[in-house]
Amino acid sequence: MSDSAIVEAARQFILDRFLPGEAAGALTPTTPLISTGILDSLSVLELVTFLENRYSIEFAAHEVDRAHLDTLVAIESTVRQKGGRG
Amino acid sequence: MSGNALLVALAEHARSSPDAVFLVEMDGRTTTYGALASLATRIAETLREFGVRPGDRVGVHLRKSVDAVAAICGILHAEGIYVPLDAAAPAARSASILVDCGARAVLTGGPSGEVLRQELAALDAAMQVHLLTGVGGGAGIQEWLVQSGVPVTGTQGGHPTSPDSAACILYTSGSTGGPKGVVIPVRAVESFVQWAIASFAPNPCDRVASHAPFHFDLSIFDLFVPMRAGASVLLLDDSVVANPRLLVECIASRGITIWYSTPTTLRMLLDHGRLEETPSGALRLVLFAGEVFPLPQLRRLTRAWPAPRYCNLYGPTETNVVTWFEVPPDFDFDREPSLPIGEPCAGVIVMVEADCGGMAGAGEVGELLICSPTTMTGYWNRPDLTARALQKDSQERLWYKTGDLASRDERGVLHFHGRRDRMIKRRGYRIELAEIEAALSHHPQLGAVVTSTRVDSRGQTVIVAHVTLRGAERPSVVDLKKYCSAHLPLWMIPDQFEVLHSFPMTSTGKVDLQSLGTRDPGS
Repeated sequence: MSDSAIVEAARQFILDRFLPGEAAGALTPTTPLISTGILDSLSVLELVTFLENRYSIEFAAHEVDRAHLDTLVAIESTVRQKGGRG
Repeated sequence: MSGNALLVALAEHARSSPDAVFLVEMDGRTTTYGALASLATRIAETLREFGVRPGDRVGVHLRKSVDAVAAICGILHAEGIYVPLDAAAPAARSASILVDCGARAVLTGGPSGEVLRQELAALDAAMQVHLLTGVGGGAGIQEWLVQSGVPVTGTQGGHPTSPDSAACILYTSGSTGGPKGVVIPVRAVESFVQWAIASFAPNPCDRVASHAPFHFDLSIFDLFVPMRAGASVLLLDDSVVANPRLLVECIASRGITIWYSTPTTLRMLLDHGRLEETPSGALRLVLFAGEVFPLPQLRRLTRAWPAPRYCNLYGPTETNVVTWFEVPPDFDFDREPSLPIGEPCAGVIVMVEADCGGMAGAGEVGELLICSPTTMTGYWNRPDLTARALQKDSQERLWYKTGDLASRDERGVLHFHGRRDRMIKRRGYRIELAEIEAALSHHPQLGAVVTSTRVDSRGQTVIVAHVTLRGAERPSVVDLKKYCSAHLPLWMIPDQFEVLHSFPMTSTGKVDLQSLGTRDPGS
């Protein structure tokens, strides 16, 4: 099964912005992003701004954390819960 | 309480106003001066029972909490030296720091505590590991005290601690590949606290936000200045320090009056925390240190929140704050080239040394030398590095050579001009690029590693690791970042990696860093 559009969009954003030169395949839907240092605290904030703008959703202050954003799968689920459509 | 001068104020407040709140955690739990003082006394008794003697090093590997503050005070009460560690850093790095300083014991807790215990066991380190079950609100340390079963005697501490004895060791990135320990004597903390009290007049109604982690020198202010003033401290732990919206909200809702952080943090509040749409509440003083604050963002900040005083504090970990600049209301953001680092704090002498050795003239750039009562004793167990950094003049005054470049203008105001070596500042943390190179050089697929830095369009420092391969196999960037996260703190992980066949060389046969640094590995 191919990855959802949300996973794909988040993957592309992270690759372009934070992993220039990396092959798309290296970033799987379950690769930990925050605990591995791929995304640091400032990168996470940029990702949130990207997701908010793209999907017209809003993150509450306490949702900007590892539980909601550590993998592409978690990101997709968070975006969907907020009514974002891929 | 003990003879440690740093705790005299704690004991006094505990006597005169035991029910005054000292610590506030994010979940709203509070701890009074009376409760903290009694906790510290019991921790000290227990540590002594466990064999901690004056001058012994004791690691504090706990997330920011009442437990961590109580541990620090307890260690000082026992006349020990506290060694604060980053509980979020790789266990291997924390373990190597504990081994380096020959710690007698470490107080740790939570999942990262268990990992640290295993790491120390693997190193065969002869060190007591006190694993707290649960950290927060002082509950973990209370339970540890009960489990330890040391009877409460309420005995007073021993002799007055000498002002030259060490209070703490703060580990910073080292140029020889591993972190080095900056030994901070009681006298230095005392001098700094006295200057801060005289300059900012904190009082018992103040509420100070403790944003910096305890292993970062900014925390000396957060802990000991409010303690002296009888003020309260809001402990911002890992769950909120990187969450700008929560931080901005809590400044007004928690009645914060004094804020001290890096410019990076304040920029994060501006760019991602909706600071400009949020009231500043009772905030009266904003202090920042650790790196250069770009003027456009500082202008936005002071316009959005015009009420507080804004002060740029300058000083490396080795000396703590030695110069400061209060941003005047009429500061000309358009005409000033950068934010000055200002004038020396009371009791501090600074000198700008020209390359030829003499004192630099007005406007001339040279190395900044500092003679200050807030200066470190030296680097732990590194007399070679200490001798290079601290030098006596003919009047027996001790000068610290900062490695920072500065100039003094006609008005006597100091300006910062960067570094003379390969140390960089990123998000307020200082980083020796050699430490990153040393960590990456052990990667099985990498040959040589050279790092360079550049500043991106947002004014952020970007670290680029240029690597050559050992064989044909090329690790992915994700693999390299994962590898780094196991060996380096998050703030030291390179942003970009560039794989090269070989490094460009200068005519003298050295790696051409300048040429490496100007390339864009992303393209």
